[in-house]
Amino acid sequence: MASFEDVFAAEFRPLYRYLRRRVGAAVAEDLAEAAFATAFASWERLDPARPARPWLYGIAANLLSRYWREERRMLRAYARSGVDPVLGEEDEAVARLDTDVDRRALAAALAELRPRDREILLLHAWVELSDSEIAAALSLPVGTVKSRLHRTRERLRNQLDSEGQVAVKPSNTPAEGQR
Amino acid sequence: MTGNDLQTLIDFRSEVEEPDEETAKRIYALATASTTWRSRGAERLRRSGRSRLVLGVAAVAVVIVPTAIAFGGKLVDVFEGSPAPPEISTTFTALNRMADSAIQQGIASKMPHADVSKAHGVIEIQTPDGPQDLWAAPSDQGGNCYFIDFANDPPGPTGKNGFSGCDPSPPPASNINWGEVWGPAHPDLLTIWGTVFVDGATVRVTLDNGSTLNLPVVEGLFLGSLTGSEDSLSSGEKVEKVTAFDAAGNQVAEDSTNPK
Repeated sequence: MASFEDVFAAEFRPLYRYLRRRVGAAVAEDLAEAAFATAFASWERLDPARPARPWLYGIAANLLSRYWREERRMLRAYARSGVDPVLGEEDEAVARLDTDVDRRALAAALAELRPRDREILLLHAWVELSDSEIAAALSLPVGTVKSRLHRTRERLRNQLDSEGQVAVKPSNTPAEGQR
Repeated sequence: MTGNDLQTLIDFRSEVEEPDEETAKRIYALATASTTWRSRGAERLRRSGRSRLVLGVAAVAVVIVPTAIAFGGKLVDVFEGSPAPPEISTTFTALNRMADSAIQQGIASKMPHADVSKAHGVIEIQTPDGPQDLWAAPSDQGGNCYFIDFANDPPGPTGKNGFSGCDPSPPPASNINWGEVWGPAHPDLLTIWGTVFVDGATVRVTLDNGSTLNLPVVEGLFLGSLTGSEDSLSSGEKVEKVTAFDAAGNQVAEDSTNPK
């Protein structure tokens, strides 16, 4: 079984980056720290036969679940304004008006996914976890992961195929169209 | 989702960079700062060889250290002080309505009400059933009203299922008010919580078999969880007394009465 130090060395940077992509740098640092502190505290109880990577991302998913509103708010803001709060927070120089309508439509579509479906999709697309690894991370049956991933991708395709005409629901104002 | 769409998703925010070495070192130091708690729990496990329940206690004691302490105070930003989400505010509102109803029906002449606008997170612990949270809101009769739930449980129309209560007014003579509760939705867990009405930094929970569980006090409140079989947890009290200590380690209060 790999040591905690080995797993930290291998997994910290990609996990931290994943969290940054989800909720921005400010929250990501706290979440990364919390995830690894939880892992460290539980290390002796980890089944040696169980891969550490899905387990770590499962811990991170639990922590991220508290931030689904913030994540949705940032995605909607990006879709509406063309300025991605996640990238703007990362580096002011990057806080630019994004004219890539595909990305903005995608942000709008991601914002409207159910939090757990978004988690499954992004673990698949950004972390490249397999279906069985996602199932292990989120304590779901593999079949459930497969079906929800399929359904989520279908839903995104339908929204993106409609010429990017994705409705963005603002927090406090009446619904408005994107593009 | 077409291949192009998937590629768009894969590329989305891909410009976000990995953290630098300094950040990695800092996070490593913070994440492993709970060594003291961990080694104490592991040492207790090695020494005792007690029943399954006690082993469960020791194991969970390692994991359930409230985030505010376990993570060097960093997680205060994550949970402690965070505003209550709508489902928690709804729960406090429902509890206030129940208090109103009890008064109207003559069951009580007065009952505490929570200031829902100030409901906030205090402690989050990790349990085998996921995060367990203690939320608090100021009571109009002094002290706090509090609500404890499991973060992963879905909310219902009147909020979330959980355990709730308000601090007694005036405080008990022992200066500690505590309770333990078991629920069918989480049959392998026994929740212990309470309030220390003097300046306490930690509490030591002593079980009826002599083993102990140390918990930090945050905003005067503490929260812990024991594991064991359903039978062992539901068939009687397991906590014998709760003792509070100040930051210097001096005993400041103790209560050995039955939980409220």
